[in-house]
Amino acid sequence: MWEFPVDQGLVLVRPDFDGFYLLNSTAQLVWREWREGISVAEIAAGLAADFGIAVEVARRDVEATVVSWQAGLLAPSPPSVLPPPPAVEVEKADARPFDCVVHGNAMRVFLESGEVWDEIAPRLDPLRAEVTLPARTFHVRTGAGRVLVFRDGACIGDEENAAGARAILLQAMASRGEPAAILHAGGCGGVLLAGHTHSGKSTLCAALMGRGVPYYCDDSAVLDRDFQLTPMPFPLMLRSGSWPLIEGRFPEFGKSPVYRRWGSDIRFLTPRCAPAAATVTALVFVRYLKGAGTQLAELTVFDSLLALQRSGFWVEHSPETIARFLAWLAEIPRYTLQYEDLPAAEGIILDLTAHAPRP
Amino acid sequence: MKNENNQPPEDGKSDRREMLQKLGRFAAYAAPFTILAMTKKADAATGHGPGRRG
Repeated sequence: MWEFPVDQGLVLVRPDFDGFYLLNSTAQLVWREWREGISVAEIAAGLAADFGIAVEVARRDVEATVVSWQAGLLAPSPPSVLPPPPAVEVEKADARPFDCVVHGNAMRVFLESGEVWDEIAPRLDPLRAEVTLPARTFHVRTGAGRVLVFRDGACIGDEENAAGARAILLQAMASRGEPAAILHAGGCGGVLLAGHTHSGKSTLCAALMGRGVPYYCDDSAVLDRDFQLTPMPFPLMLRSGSWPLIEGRFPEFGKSPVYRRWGSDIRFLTPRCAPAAATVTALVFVRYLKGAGTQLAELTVFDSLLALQRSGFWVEHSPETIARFLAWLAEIPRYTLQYEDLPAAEGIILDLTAHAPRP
Repeated sequence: MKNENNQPPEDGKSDRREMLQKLGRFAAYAAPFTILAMTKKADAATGHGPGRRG
Protein backbone atom coordinates (compact mmCIF):
# COMPACT_ATOMS: atom_id res chain seq x y z
CA MET A 1 0.00 0.00 0.00
CA TRP A 2 1.27 3.46 -0.92
CA GLU A 3 0.61 6.09 1.78
CA PHE A 4 0.59 9.86 1.29
CA PRO A 5 -0.31 12.10 4.26
CA VAL A 6 -1.98 15.39 3.27
CA ASP A 7 -3.09 18.37 5.34
CA GLN A 8 -6.39 17.04 6.67
CA GLY A 9 -6.21 13.35 6.01
CA LEU A 10 -4.43 10.53 4.28
CA VAL A 11 -4.33 9.19 0.71
CA LEU A 12 -3.93 5.43 0.38
CA VAL A 13 -3.34 3.81 -3.01
CA ARG A 14 -3.39 0.15 -3.94
CA PRO A 15 -0.56 -0.61 -6.39
CA ASP A 16 -2.95 -2.82 -8.39
CA PHE A 17 -5.83 -0.34 -8.76
CA ASP A 18 -6.15 3.10 -10.38
CA GLY A 19 -7.78 5.04 -7.59
CA PHE A 20 -7.13 7.06 -4.45
CA TYR A 21 -8.66 6.11 -1.10
CA LEU A 22 -9.23 9.39 0.74
CA LEU A 23 -9.31 9.05 4.55
CA ASN A 24 -10.36 12.01 6.67
CA SER A 25 -8.34 12.80 9.80
CA THR A 26 -10.40 10.56 12.08
CA ALA A 27 -10.12 7.65 9.64
CA GLN A 28 -6.38 8.36 9.43
CA LEU A 29 -6.13 8.04 13.22
CA VAL A 30 -8.08 4.77 13.14
CA TRP A 31 -5.88 3.49 10.28
CA ARG A 32 -2.62 4.22 12.12
CA GLU A 33 -3.76 2.46 15.30
CA TRP A 34 -5.47 -0.45 13.60
CA ARG A 35 -2.35 -1.14 11.49
CA GLU A 36 -0.31 -1.16 14.70
CA GLY A 37 -2.50 -4.02 15.90
CA ILE A 38 -4.59 -2.05 18.38
CA SER A 39 -8.03 -3.62 18.76
CA VAL A 40 -11.24 -2.01 17.55
CA ALA A 41 -12.45 -1.78 21.15
CA GLU A 42 -9.31 0.06 22.27
CA ILE A 43 -9.41 2.47 19.32
CA ALA A 44 -13.08 3.19 20.02
CA ALA A 45 -12.39 3.75 23.72
CA GLY A 46 -9.63 6.21 22.81
CA LEU A 47 -11.89 8.14 20.43
CA ALA A 48 -14.68 8.22 23.02
CA ALA A 49 -12.32 9.64 25.64
CA ASP A 50 -10.67 12.14 23.31
CA PHE A 51 -13.88 13.55 21.87
CA GLY A 52 -16.31 13.00 24.72
CA ILE A 53 -18.61 10.83 22.64
CA ALA A 54 -20.41 7.63 23.62
CA VAL A 55 -18.26 4.50 23.40
CA GLU A 56 -21.01 2.76 21.41
CA VAL A 57 -20.95 5.52 18.77
CA ALA A 58 -17.16 5.36 18.50
CA ARG A 59 -17.22 1.57 18.32
CA ARG A 60 -19.89 1.55 15.62
CA ASP A 61 -17.87 4.06 13.54
CA VAL A 62 -14.57 2.21 13.93
CA GLU A 63 -16.17 -1.15 13.10
CA ALA A 64 -17.89 0.28 10.01
CA THR A 65 -14.62 1.86 8.88
CA VAL A 66 -12.64 -1.37 9.24
CA VAL A 67 -15.36 -3.37 7.46
CA SER A 68 -15.33 -0.92 4.52
CA TRP A 69 -11.54 -1.23 4.26
CA GLN A 70 -11.74 -5.01 4.27
CA ALA A 71 -14.32 -4.87 1.46
CA GLY A 72 -12.32 -2.51 -0.78
CA LEU A 73 -8.99 -1.07 0.24
CA LEU A 74 -7.69 -4.33 1.73
CA ALA A 75 -9.74 -6.84 -0.28
CA PRO A 76 -7.69 -9.62 -1.92
CA SER A 77 -8.77 -8.36 -5.37
CA PRO A 78 -9.06 -4.72 -6.42
CA PRO A 79 -12.61 -3.26 -6.59
CA SER A 80 -12.84 -3.64 -10.36
CA VAL A 81 -10.48 -4.70 -13.06
CA LEU A 82 -11.37 -3.84 -16.63
CA PRO A 83 -11.11 -6.66 -19.11
CA PRO A 84 -8.51 -6.24 -21.87
CA PRO A 85 -9.71 -4.31 -24.94
CA PRO A 86 -11.62 -6.46 -27.43
CA ALA A 87 -9.44 -7.86 -30.19
CA VAL A 88 -10.66 -5.99 -33.27
CA GLU A 89 -8.97 -4.76 -36.41
CA VAL A 90 -7.65 -1.21 -36.19
CA GLU A 91 -9.21 -0.20 -39.49
CA LYS A 92 -12.89 -0.21 -40.29
CA ALA A 93 -14.42 -0.10 -43.76
CA ASP A 94 -16.73 2.86 -43.16
CA ALA A 95 -14.07 5.04 -41.49
CA ARG A 96 -13.30 8.41 -43.06
CA PRO A 97 -9.94 10.19 -42.74
CA PHE A 98 -9.74 13.62 -41.15
CA ASP A 99 -6.43 15.43 -41.68
CA CYS A 100 -5.37 18.16 -39.30
CA VAL A 101 -2.39 19.91 -37.73
CA VAL A 102 -2.01 20.18 -33.93
CA HIS A 103 0.88 22.14 -32.42
CA GLY A 104 2.59 22.02 -35.81
CA ASN A 105 2.32 18.23 -36.08
CA ALA A 106 0.48 16.72 -39.04
CA MET A 107 -2.03 14.07 -38.01
CA ARG A 108 -4.53 11.82 -39.75
CA VAL A 109 -7.56 10.61 -37.79
CA PHE A 110 -9.80 7.87 -39.17
CA LEU A 111 -13.28 8.28 -37.70
CA GLU A 112 -16.02 5.71 -38.00
CA SER A 113 -19.16 7.15 -39.59
CA GLY A 114 -22.11 7.89 -37.35
CA GLU A 115 -21.86 8.66 -33.65
CA VAL A 116 -18.05 8.65 -33.56
CA TRP A 117 -17.79 11.11 -36.45
CA ASP A 118 -20.55 13.34 -35.05
CA GLU A 119 -18.87 13.48 -31.63
CA ILE A 120 -15.33 14.17 -32.79
CA ALA A 121 -15.31 15.89 -36.21
CA PRO A 122 -16.67 19.27 -34.96
CA ARG A 123 -13.85 19.37 -32.40
CA LEU A 124 -11.22 18.91 -35.11
CA ASP A 125 -12.79 21.12 -37.77
CA PRO A 126 -10.85 24.36 -37.07
CA LEU A 127 -7.59 22.37 -37.26
CA ARG A 128 -8.36 20.78 -40.64
CA ALA A 129 -5.40 20.97 -43.02
CA GLU A 130 -3.98 19.23 -46.04
CA VAL A 131 -1.57 16.54 -44.91
CA THR A 132 0.61 14.44 -47.18
CA LEU A 133 2.70 12.54 -44.65
CA PRO A 134 1.12 12.43 -41.15
CA ALA A 135 3.48 12.19 -38.17
CA ARG A 136 0.75 10.38 -36.24
CA THR A 137 -2.23 8.29 -37.30
CA PHE A 138 -5.24 7.69 -35.07
CA HIS A 139 -8.27 5.46 -35.52
CA VAL A 140 -11.50 5.72 -33.55
CA ARG A 141 -14.01 2.92 -34.05
CA THR A 142 -16.59 0.82 -32.27
CA GLY A 143 -16.06 -2.87 -31.57
CA ALA A 144 -17.65 -5.41 -29.24
CA GLY A 145 -19.85 -2.70 -27.71
CA ARG A 146 -16.93 -0.40 -26.90
CA VAL A 147 -15.42 2.66 -28.55
CA LEU A 148 -11.72 2.15 -29.17
CA VAL A 149 -8.93 4.64 -29.86
CA PHE A 150 -5.72 3.60 -31.61
CA ARG A 151 -2.51 5.61 -32.02
CA ASP A 152 -0.19 4.35 -34.73
CA GLY A 153 -1.86 0.94 -34.45
CA ALA A 154 -1.69 0.59 -30.64
CA CYS A 155 -4.89 0.73 -28.58
CA ILE A 156 -4.74 3.71 -26.18
CA GLY A 157 -8.43 3.93 -25.26
CA ASP A 158 -11.23 1.45 -24.58
CA GLU A 159 -14.27 3.50 -23.66
CA GLU A 160 -17.96 3.05 -22.99
CA ASN A 161 -19.05 5.81 -25.36
CA ALA A 162 -17.92 8.23 -28.06
CA ALA A 163 -17.48 11.10 -25.57
CA GLY A 164 -14.93 9.07 -23.60
CA ALA A 165 -13.09 8.15 -26.81
CA ARG A 166 -13.10 11.80 -27.89
CA ALA A 167 -11.48 12.73 -24.56
CA ILE A 168 -8.71 10.15 -24.98
CA LEU A 169 -8.11 11.15 -28.59
CA LEU A 170 -7.83 14.91 -27.97
CA GLN A 171 -5.58 14.40 -24.93
CA ALA A 172 -3.26 12.22 -27.03
CA MET A 173 -3.28 14.61 -30.00
CA ALA A 174 -2.32 17.64 -27.90
CA SER A 175 0.15 16.01 -25.49
CA ARG A 176 3.88 16.09 -25.99
CA GLY A 177 4.83 12.81 -24.33
CA GLU A 178 2.84 11.00 -21.66
CA PRO A 179 1.10 13.37 -19.22
CA ALA A 180 1.59 13.14 -15.43
CA ALA A 181 -2.01 14.08 -14.60
CA ILE A 182 -5.25 15.23 -16.23
CA LEU A 183 -8.01 17.18 -14.47
CA HIS A 184 -11.57 17.72 -15.66
CA ALA A 185 -11.03 21.46 -15.87
CA GLY A 186 -10.80 24.44 -18.13
CA GLY A 187 -7.67 26.55 -18.14
CA CYS A 188 -7.39 30.32 -18.59
CA GLY A 189 -4.34 32.44 -17.83
CA GLY A 190 -2.79 29.65 -15.75
CA VAL A 191 -5.90 29.29 -13.54
CA LEU A 192 -7.58 25.88 -13.69
CA LEU A 193 -11.38 25.99 -13.55
CA ALA A 194 -12.44 22.54 -12.39
CA GLY A 195 -15.90 21.13 -11.92
CA HIS A 196 -18.36 18.53 -12.98
CA THR A 197 -20.44 18.76 -16.16
CA HIS A 198 -22.90 21.72 -16.14
CA SER A 199 -20.85 23.53 -13.48
CA GLY A 200 -20.37 26.62 -15.66
CA LYS A 201 -16.64 26.29 -16.27
CA SER A 202 -16.87 26.42 -20.10
CA THR A 203 -19.00 29.57 -19.94
CA LEU A 204 -16.49 31.20 -17.60
CA CYS A 205 -13.59 30.07 -19.82
CA ALA A 206 -15.24 31.58 -22.89
CA ALA A 207 -15.98 34.83 -21.06
CA LEU A 208 -12.37 35.12 -19.87
CA MET A 209 -11.11 34.36 -23.36
CA GLY A 210 -13.34 37.21 -24.60
CA ARG A 211 -11.52 39.54 -22.19
CA GLY A 212 -8.16 38.58 -23.64
CA VAL A 213 -7.05 36.03 -21.02
CA PRO A 214 -4.86 33.35 -22.67
CA TYR A 215 -6.89 30.19 -23.25
CA TYR A 216 -5.45 26.71 -22.64
CA CYS A 217 -8.30 24.22 -22.42
CA ASP A 218 -12.02 23.75 -21.95
CA ASP A 219 -12.71 20.44 -20.25
CA SER A 220 -9.46 18.49 -20.14
CA ALA A 221 -6.46 20.06 -18.36
CA VAL A 222 -3.46 17.97 -19.38
CA LEU A 223 -0.46 18.41 -17.06
CA ASP A 224 2.91 17.35 -18.44
CA ARG A 225 5.81 15.77 -16.51
CA ASP A 226 6.65 19.20 -15.00
CA PHE A 227 2.95 19.86 -14.21
CA GLN A 228 2.84 22.51 -16.92
CA LEU A 229 -0.56 23.04 -18.53
CA THR A 230 -0.75 21.82 -22.14
CA PRO A 231 -2.63 24.04 -24.64
CA MET A 232 -5.62 22.20 -26.16
CA PRO A 233 -6.54 24.06 -29.38
CA PHE A 234 -9.94 22.38 -29.82
CA PRO A 235 -13.30 24.21 -29.77
CA LEU A 236 -15.20 24.80 -26.53
CA MET A 237 -18.67 23.29 -26.29
CA LEU A 238 -21.30 25.73 -25.02
CA ARG A 239 -24.90 24.84 -24.19
CA SER A 240 -27.76 27.10 -25.27
CA GLY A 241 -28.17 28.55 -21.77
CA SER A 242 -24.85 30.35 -22.03
CA TRP A 243 -25.20 31.61 -25.62
CA PRO A 244 -26.68 35.03 -24.67
CA LEU A 245 -23.73 35.62 -22.35
CA ILE A 246 -21.19 34.78 -25.03
CA GLU A 247 -22.67 36.02 -28.33
CA GLY A 248 -21.93 39.70 -27.67
CA ARG A 249 -18.24 38.97 -27.19
CA PHE A 250 -17.79 36.69 -30.20
CA PRO A 251 -19.96 37.93 -33.10
CA GLU A 252 -19.11 34.91 -35.26
CA PHE A 253 -20.33 32.52 -32.55
CA GLY A 254 -24.00 33.30 -33.29
CA LYS A 255 -23.57 32.02 -36.85
CA SER A 256 -21.95 28.70 -35.90
CA PRO A 257 -23.99 25.51 -36.45
CA VAL A 258 -26.19 24.08 -33.72
CA TYR A 259 -25.73 20.44 -32.67
CA ARG A 260 -27.76 18.26 -30.33
CA ARG A 261 -25.88 16.59 -27.42
CA TRP A 262 -27.40 14.72 -24.46
CA GLY A 263 -30.76 16.49 -24.89
CA SER A 264 -29.29 20.00 -25.19
CA ASP A 265 -28.62 22.36 -28.08
CA ILE A 266 -24.94 23.19 -28.25
CA ARG A 267 -22.53 25.28 -30.33
CA PHE A 268 -18.77 25.16 -30.60
CA LEU A 269 -16.57 28.22 -30.10
CA THR A 270 -13.15 28.14 -31.75
CA PRO A 271 -10.57 29.40 -29.26
CA ARG A 272 -7.57 31.62 -29.69
CA CYS A 273 -5.36 29.13 -27.93
CA ALA A 274 -2.14 30.01 -26.08
CA PRO A 275 0.90 28.86 -28.06
CA ALA A 276 2.96 27.31 -25.24
CA ALA A 277 2.52 25.43 -21.96
CA ALA A 278 1.85 27.43 -18.79
CA THR A 279 2.59 27.20 -15.08
CA VAL A 280 -0.62 26.61 -13.11
CA THR A 281 -1.16 29.47 -10.67
CA ALA A 282 -4.41 28.40 -8.98
CA LEU A 283 -7.01 25.64 -8.96
CA VAL A 284 -10.61 26.84 -8.66
CA PHE A 285 -13.59 24.50 -8.36
CA VAL A 286 -16.37 26.36 -10.14
CA ARG A 287 -20.09 26.05 -9.56
CA TYR A 288 -22.76 28.16 -11.23
CA LEU A 289 -25.76 28.42 -8.91
CA LYS A 290 -28.58 30.85 -9.62
CA GLY A 291 -29.65 32.86 -6.61
CA ALA A 292 -26.66 31.84 -4.51
CA GLY A 293 -24.45 34.91 -4.88
CA THR A 294 -20.81 34.91 -5.93
CA GLN A 295 -18.11 33.97 -3.47
CA LEU A 296 -14.60 32.55 -3.37
CA ALA A 297 -13.40 30.32 -0.49
CA GLU A 298 -10.09 28.60 0.17
CA LEU A 299 -9.84 24.82 0.15
CA THR A 300 -7.54 22.40 1.97
CA VAL A 301 -5.63 19.80 -0.05
CA PHE A 302 -7.89 17.07 1.34
CA ASP A 303 -11.08 18.94 0.40
CA SER A 304 -9.58 19.60 -3.04
CA LEU A 305 -9.11 15.85 -3.49
CA LEU A 306 -12.74 15.29 -2.52
CA ALA A 307 -13.72 17.91 -5.10
CA LEU A 308 -11.56 16.21 -7.74
CA GLN A 309 -13.27 12.93 -6.88
CA ARG A 310 -16.59 14.54 -7.79
CA SER A 311 -15.38 16.35 -10.92
CA GLY A 312 -13.09 13.70 -12.46
CA PHE A 313 -9.30 13.35 -12.67
CA TRP A 314 -6.45 11.01 -13.57
CA VAL A 315 -2.90 10.68 -12.25
CA GLU A 316 -0.23 8.34 -13.61
CA HIS A 317 -0.26 5.27 -11.39
CA SER A 318 3.19 5.31 -9.82
CA PRO A 319 4.16 6.30 -6.26
CA GLU A 320 6.61 8.90 -7.56
CA THR A 321 4.08 10.66 -9.78
CA ILE A 322 1.32 10.52 -7.15
CA ALA A 323 3.70 12.05 -4.57
CA ARG A 324 4.67 14.78 -7.04
CA PHE A 325 1.01 15.42 -7.90
CA LEU A 326 0.08 15.83 -4.22
CA ALA A 327 3.08 18.12 -3.63
CA TRP A 328 2.04 20.22 -6.66
CA LEU A 329 -1.53 20.38 -5.32
CA ALA A 330 -0.27 21.51 -1.91
CA GLU A 331 1.82 24.28 -3.48
CA ILE A 332 -0.82 25.98 -5.61
CA PRO A 333 -3.65 28.11 -4.15
CA ARG A 334 -6.96 26.19 -4.13
CA TYR A 335 -10.48 27.61 -4.00
CA THR A 336 -14.15 27.02 -4.59
CA LEU A 337 -15.97 29.67 -6.60
CA GLN A 338 -19.74 29.66 -6.41
CA TYR A 339 -21.18 32.19 -8.84
CA GLU A 340 -24.41 33.49 -10.24
CA ASP A 341 -23.05 36.68 -11.81
CA LEU A 342 -20.67 36.05 -14.72
CA PRO A 343 -18.88 39.46 -14.72
CA ALA A 344 -18.27 39.14 -10.96
CA ALA A 345 -16.81 35.65 -11.44
CA GLU A 346 -14.63 36.92 -14.30
CA GLY A 347 -13.34 39.68 -12.04
CA ILE A 348 -12.39 37.17 -9.34
CA ILE A 349 -10.50 34.95 -11.79
CA LEU A 350 -8.82 37.97 -13.40
CA ASP A 351 -7.72 39.03 -9.93
CA LEU A 352 -6.25 35.56 -9.28
CA THR A 353 -4.46 35.75 -12.62
CA ALA A 354 -3.10 39.20 -11.87
CA HIS A 355 -1.90 38.22 -8.41
CA ALA A 356 -0.45 34.89 -9.43
CA PRO A 357 3.24 34.51 -8.65
CA ARG A 358 5.31 34.81 -11.81
CA PRO A 359 7.95 32.17 -12.51
CA MET B 1 -16.41 17.69 22.45
CA LYS B 2 -12.71 17.61 21.92
CA ASN B 3 -10.44 16.89 24.85
CA GLU B 4 -10.34 20.40 26.35
CA ASN B 5 -7.41 19.74 28.65
CA ASN B 6 -5.23 19.06 25.61
CA GLN B 7 -2.90 17.00 27.79
CA PRO B 8 -0.48 14.52 26.23
CA PRO B 9 -1.57 10.92 26.65
CA GLU B 10 -0.10 9.26 29.68
CA ASP B 11 1.06 6.24 27.69
CA GLY B 12 3.49 8.48 25.77
CA LYS B 13 2.22 7.61 22.30
CA SER B 14 3.64 10.56 20.41
CA ASP B 15 1.98 9.54 17.15
CA ARG B 16 -1.42 9.67 18.72
CA ARG B 17 -0.70 13.04 20.32
CA GLU B 18 0.43 14.35 16.95
CA MET B 19 -2.71 13.07 15.30
CA LEU B 20 -4.93 14.56 17.97
CA GLN B 21 -3.24 17.92 17.52
CA LYS B 22 -4.01 17.63 13.83
CA LEU B 23 -7.63 16.88 14.67
CA GLY B 24 -7.70 19.86 17.02
CA ARG B 25 -9.33 22.11 14.40
CA PHE B 26 -12.57 20.23 14.86
CA ALA B 27 -14.88 21.63 17.51
CA ALA B 28 -16.78 18.35 17.49
CA TYR B 29 -16.21 14.74 16.61
CA ALA B 30 -16.09 14.04 12.88
CA ALA B 31 -17.04 10.48 11.98
CA PRO B 32 -14.31 8.62 10.10
CA PHE B 33 -14.89 8.20 6.38
CA THR B 34 -13.03 6.74 3.42
CA ILE B 35 -13.92 7.72 -0.14
CA LEU B 36 -12.65 6.00 -3.24
CA ALA B 37 -11.69 8.43 -5.99
CA MET B 38 -11.23 6.53 -9.23
CA THR B 39 -8.62 7.95 -11.59
CA LYS B 40 -9.54 7.59 -15.26
CA LYS B 41 -8.38 9.59 -18.27
CA ALA B 42 -11.78 9.83 -19.93
CA ASP B 43 -13.44 11.01 -16.69
CA ALA B 44 -10.82 13.75 -16.55
CA ALA B 45 -12.50 15.28 -19.59
CA THR B 46 -16.13 14.25 -19.39
CA GLY B 47 -16.67 14.06 -15.64
CA HIS B 48 -18.69 10.89 -16.13
CA GLY B 49 -18.33 8.00 -13.75
CA PRO B 50 -16.62 9.65 -10.74
CA GLY B 51 -15.59 7.65 -7.69
CA ARG B 52 -17.65 6.23 -4.91
CA ARG B 53 -17.57 5.51 -1.22
CA GLY B 54 -15.63 2.38 -0.46
